[in-house]
Amino acid sequence: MINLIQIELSKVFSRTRTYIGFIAIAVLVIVLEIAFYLDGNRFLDFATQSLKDSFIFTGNLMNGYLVSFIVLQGLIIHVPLLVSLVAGELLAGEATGGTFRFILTRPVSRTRVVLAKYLVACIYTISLIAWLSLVSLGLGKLLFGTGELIVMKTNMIIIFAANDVLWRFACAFLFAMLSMCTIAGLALLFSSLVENAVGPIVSTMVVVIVLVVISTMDVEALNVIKPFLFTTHMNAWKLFFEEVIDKKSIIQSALILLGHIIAFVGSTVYVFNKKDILT
Amino acid sequence: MHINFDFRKVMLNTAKIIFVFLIAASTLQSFANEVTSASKDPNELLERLKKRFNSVKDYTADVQIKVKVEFLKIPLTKAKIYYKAPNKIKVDAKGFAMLPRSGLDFANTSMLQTKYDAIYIKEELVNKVNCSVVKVIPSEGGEVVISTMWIDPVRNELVKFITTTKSNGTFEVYLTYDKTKPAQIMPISLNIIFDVKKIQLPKSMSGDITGETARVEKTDKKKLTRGEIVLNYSNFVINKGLNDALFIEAKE
Repeated sequence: MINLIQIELSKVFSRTRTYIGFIAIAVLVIVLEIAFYLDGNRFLDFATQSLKDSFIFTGNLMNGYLVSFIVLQGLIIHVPLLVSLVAGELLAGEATGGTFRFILTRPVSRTRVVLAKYLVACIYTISLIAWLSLVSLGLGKLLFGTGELIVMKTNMIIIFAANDVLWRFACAFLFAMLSMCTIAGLALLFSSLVENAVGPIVSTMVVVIVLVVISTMDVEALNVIKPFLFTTHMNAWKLFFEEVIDKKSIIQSALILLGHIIAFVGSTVYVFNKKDILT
Repeated sequence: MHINFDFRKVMLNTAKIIFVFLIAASTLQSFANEVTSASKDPNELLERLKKRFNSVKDYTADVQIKVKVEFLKIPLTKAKIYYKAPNKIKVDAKGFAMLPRSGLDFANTSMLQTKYDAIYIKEELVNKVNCSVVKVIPSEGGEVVISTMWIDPVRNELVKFITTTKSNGTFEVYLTYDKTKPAQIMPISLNIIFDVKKIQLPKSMSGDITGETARVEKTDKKKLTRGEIVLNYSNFVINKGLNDALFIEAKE
């Protein structure tokens, strides 16, 4: 199994397409941080304008932690696409390249092939999120320094002490890795169904966008299905930035995401085992 | 039975007793008048208060700030506060700190430096201290509309005041002193209670997209809420001479 994973890893990381995600994240974070460097105080002033009528503020709230937090907010939009770019190609790409027969003639079960590919997708996803954390926090600290983290909700503001922030980010990024591994599982499932790499990428994004819209709409009729959608639980990383951590909700969301991963990968194994390899 | 009764002696003794009683009563009355007239004179009360606080030309102190506002969750913060009479204040903190705009001038000294009309209202007990209640109305306009002050006439200490301002609403300030150091003029604690506008950020800014908080918002129509800040002072250094240059950066 380890040999299989090593082979798959070398295949994935030898492709140029794999590095698009890392470059895209670096460019996005740099652009965002420069924008905040130039105009971030105005954003903060707008958010806290009603408070400034009653209070005097001192200290550095426009700091690397705030910018990283804002970057994380966009996680649900840009990272799923970057994950599906690689995960969607893992099986469909083999079909397109006609390399399925080479792989499957070896004494390795189809189940192991799928599991190895999924693990490699996870390694790629984890590397991507780790890269995101490094660039956003690292560059943020360099440009803005550190300080207290201000988390602005619709009708509440929470300020975390500077020494109470890093562990929250660590937990949030770990949870984000789990969320994105769920996307990787979905992309791999779609990849097993077709023989064209573009199809799974587009299908994954369509599903994610539709489910995100359903998850965020405030409609009573949709509230019945929301708890079962993985997109509803992908944002549970925000629970680490509450005054009192709701451990029960975090564990619940993590279990639901794990359940989706098992369902997606399990389905992929089933489909791939039944698949007639004709190319 | 014959009883010896010296009527003249009895009358004389009675007259003496009445005379002594009258002298004592009038003495007590004039003493009482003196005391009550002194505490009921609002201008005198304020002048004694001003004299006490005016002896403080500048001070520095460490302050611990606790914010108690419904929609603000802020950890306990520490700062250093610099003050120079009549109205220069600077706050220095290693990290973030939040102070109220109103109430930091805890002796109301800036208002008392202007012309005002003062009215004595009554005596009232505040935190087991008998206080004279005085209403002060500035005559020259300015930010303060009216201020009600509870003054301890014995120690010449300001125990509480409620001030209404034009732009910052009404705030109440409760002052606590170190009873073990009666000579210390500065309070060791201030509780400032004030009105603060509730916040309502657009979802695009807050990223709060689940919709649950929107439901809470709709039912809560009040735009103002009461907030409280507790400032605990320590390590006062008084009248050591602070340079004006120290206050130049902090305009607020």
